[in-house]
Amino acid sequence: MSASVPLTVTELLAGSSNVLESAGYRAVPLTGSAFAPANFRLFEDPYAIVGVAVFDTFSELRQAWPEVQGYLVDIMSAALKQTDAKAWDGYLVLLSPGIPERDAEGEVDAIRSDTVRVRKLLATGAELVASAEVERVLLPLLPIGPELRIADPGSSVLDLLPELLFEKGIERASTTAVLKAFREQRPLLEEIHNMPVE
Amino acid sequence: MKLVSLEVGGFRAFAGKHSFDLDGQAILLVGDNGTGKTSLFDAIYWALCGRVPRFDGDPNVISRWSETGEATVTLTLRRDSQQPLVITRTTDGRAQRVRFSAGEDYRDGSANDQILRTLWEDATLTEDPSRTFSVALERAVYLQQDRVRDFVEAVSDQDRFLAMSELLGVGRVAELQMQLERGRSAWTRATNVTTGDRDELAGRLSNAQARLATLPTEAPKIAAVRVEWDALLSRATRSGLGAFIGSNELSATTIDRLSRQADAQLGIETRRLDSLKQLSADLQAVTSLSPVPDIDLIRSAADAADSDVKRLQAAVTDAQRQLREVRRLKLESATQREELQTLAQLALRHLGERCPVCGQSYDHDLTMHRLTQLASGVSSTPEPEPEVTSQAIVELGNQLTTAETARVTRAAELIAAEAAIRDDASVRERIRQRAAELNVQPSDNAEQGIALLINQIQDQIESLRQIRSATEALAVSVASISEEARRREVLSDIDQTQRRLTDVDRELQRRRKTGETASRMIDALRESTSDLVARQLEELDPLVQRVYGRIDPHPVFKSLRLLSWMRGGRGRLSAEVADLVTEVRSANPAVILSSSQTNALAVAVFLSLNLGLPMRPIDAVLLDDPLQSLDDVNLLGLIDLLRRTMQRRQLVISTHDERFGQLLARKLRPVDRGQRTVIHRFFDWGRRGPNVTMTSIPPDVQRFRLVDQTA
Repeated sequence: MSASVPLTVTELLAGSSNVLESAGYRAVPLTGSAFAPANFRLFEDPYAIVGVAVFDTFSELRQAWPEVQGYLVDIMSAALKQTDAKAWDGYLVLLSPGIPERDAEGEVDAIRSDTVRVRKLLATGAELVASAEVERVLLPLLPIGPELRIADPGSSVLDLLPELLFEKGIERASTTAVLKAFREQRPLLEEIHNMPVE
Repeated sequence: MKLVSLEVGGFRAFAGKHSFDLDGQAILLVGDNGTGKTSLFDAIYWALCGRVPRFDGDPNVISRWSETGEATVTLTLRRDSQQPLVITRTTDGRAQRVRFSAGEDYRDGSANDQILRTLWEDATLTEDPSRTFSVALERAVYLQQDRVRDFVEAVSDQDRFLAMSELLGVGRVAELQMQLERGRSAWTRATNVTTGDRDELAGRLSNAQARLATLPTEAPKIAAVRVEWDALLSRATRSGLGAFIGSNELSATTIDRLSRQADAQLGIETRRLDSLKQLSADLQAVTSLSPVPDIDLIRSAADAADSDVKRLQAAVTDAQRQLREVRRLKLESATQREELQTLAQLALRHLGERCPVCGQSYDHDLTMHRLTQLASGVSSTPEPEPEVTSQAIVELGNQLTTAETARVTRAAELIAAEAAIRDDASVRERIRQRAAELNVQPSDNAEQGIALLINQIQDQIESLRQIRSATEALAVSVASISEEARRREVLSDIDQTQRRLTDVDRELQRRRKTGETASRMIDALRESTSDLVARQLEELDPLVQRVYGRIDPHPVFKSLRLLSWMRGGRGRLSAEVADLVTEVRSANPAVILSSSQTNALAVAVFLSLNLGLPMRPIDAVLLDDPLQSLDDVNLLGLIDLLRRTMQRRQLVISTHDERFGQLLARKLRPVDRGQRTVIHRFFDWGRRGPNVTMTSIPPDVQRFRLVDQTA
């Protein structure tokens, strides 16, 4: 069990906003904010509408999430027709720094697994001890990009060998000569043999 | 490199010709099971590498209702805005024909090579490039519906490591290591051959040194030998041998020829000397021979002796005949007298006055007188007497014996005389012949000439013996000179061999050093394979984590890592899931996760590899019905991931579930005018293939509805 302290509600809200907006989401101003749940933010990107709700405790989350979901669905229904594809692309992110009781873990999974109306993404205190973890929770909503390696199209693992084998006592020149012969499909040992003697 | 279009005919479920527009970010194939969706994936795969891995045991891809009896697939690909690449692959069940159009046209073998070079050049470094390419496609491009979980649970740690090595390009390191090992084996064999050659060279050197020890270190001066030779030649010429030598050159051959000639001439002269000596002896024998006897006289005496014997033989025979006749007559007379005596005695006893037989009267007295005479044995006729006597016969016999002895003597004398005549003739004939052979006139003073000749020949024989002796001595000198020259050659050979041996030893030392370097490199590569996989996995790790996190299939095991390690000298790899809160880990996710979660994890690993590989054959993901056995939350998670993947890769996804089809169509909708999502619906499969309709999903161009409304 990690001994780290969970992020605060504010940190979670700010972190979520940052992550989503950095990924191309735009914050949707909440009209009639008097009816908006506390600590709720709404975001939109070309594919999806995402509501982020942060609760002080898990208990609060457990009680309030249906209401928050209803609020989100209402907003979407008001803005979109049922035939709009986006009307089916609602997401509700439920976060809480609170830690669920041991016997509530099944309930956490039940909320996660509930796909009625919108998909729910849920994380609680034990999982939320660093800002990077907010991003991990929001991953399903983020485009793929930063994590992709942009490999040099001409590079190959073989190019790493001269240095790697040098660490194991093989002269770089020998490895380079052998690799050249290997790529040109020429006899390898002749290449070593014909290397100039230092 | 993305897919643009596909044309199939006679291939698996497509007996007739079908064309598919694949030019889009997402291509959805929707239709009931058995309507040809998987055949479309197989066609893409087959066009690329000529294989369908699921049918390795039965590579026939031709539809049973193919109109041509052949299967043909044409796949068009394009990289960005570059010229399209077109692969057309055809099979008649026995052989494949391939055509590859990429600006230039390639066919068959060169087409396959060019496809590999264009799509995944890395594979060309392997022993079986086609298989390597096929494995790469299978692991990172085409996820087959019946192999979704292979990577997670079916294959061994070791197989997983090897597959991952291939995908990460580390397979080339293993290939390099394998080629080095093969090269080292061949190198060692060749070095052993060189070592054998070196030993042979050392043996040759040793033999040359041994041969050198047997050769003389000194030899007569050639000039002195030449003087001797010239003198010998003069002498030989004087002895009449010059013409036979043929050359004046001082050589073992010439000397040998002279020696042989002297020897042969010596034989001739010796035989001639013997003949002369014999002739001389014969001549002396002729003078001491007795005069030849008068053969006629001796023969007459012999004949006379023979006649005497014959005459005496006849006389003896006649006398003996006469004597035998007289004896016969005497015997007859005696017999008659005895019979008459007996008869007279009977008559005297019985005779009376009258004849007792006939009763007649007779002169009694006279008769009685006569009978009395007869009875007393007195004959009335005289006894016959022989003309010759026994004594005379004995004398005749003695004369015959003497005559026979004389005849034998005469005959012996005749034989002896005849022999003497023959001997005389024989000796004279021999003399005549020898004289003819020796060209000597057998005159009265021949013996003197012969004696002179004998002296000359003896002188010649002596001269020849000296020549022969001189040639032998000269031959020894010349042989010594030759051996001395041979010694110099052997010395030169030893020098050259030693130099070659030094070179070979140096080369062997270099070869062994090369072999040792290769061995060290092989060991280092063996160790590096694991290091490289670990390094590559380390680089891949964030992507794996984030792809897995997007599906987020498990409430607790929220972390996924691909771990490699070495055991038993072999690399191994497994997928490890972890609960980051409790730090509980498992390298066997299939045991912990549900079937749905395991499927989601397998797809996550597959997509991670597709997205994370430094090199990949095509920028597409082919997923054949990956949504089976997924529960709702994992299904949504996967679809969300696919939607994000679509921005990086072209997606070709099939589903047998119409509802999923609709969900995919909504989720993978284009959100820009430049984007395109195409749905191919498969239905009513018949012998010619399925009916297929194509629709494009219109782009959702109003990207920010809520934001726009509230703005």
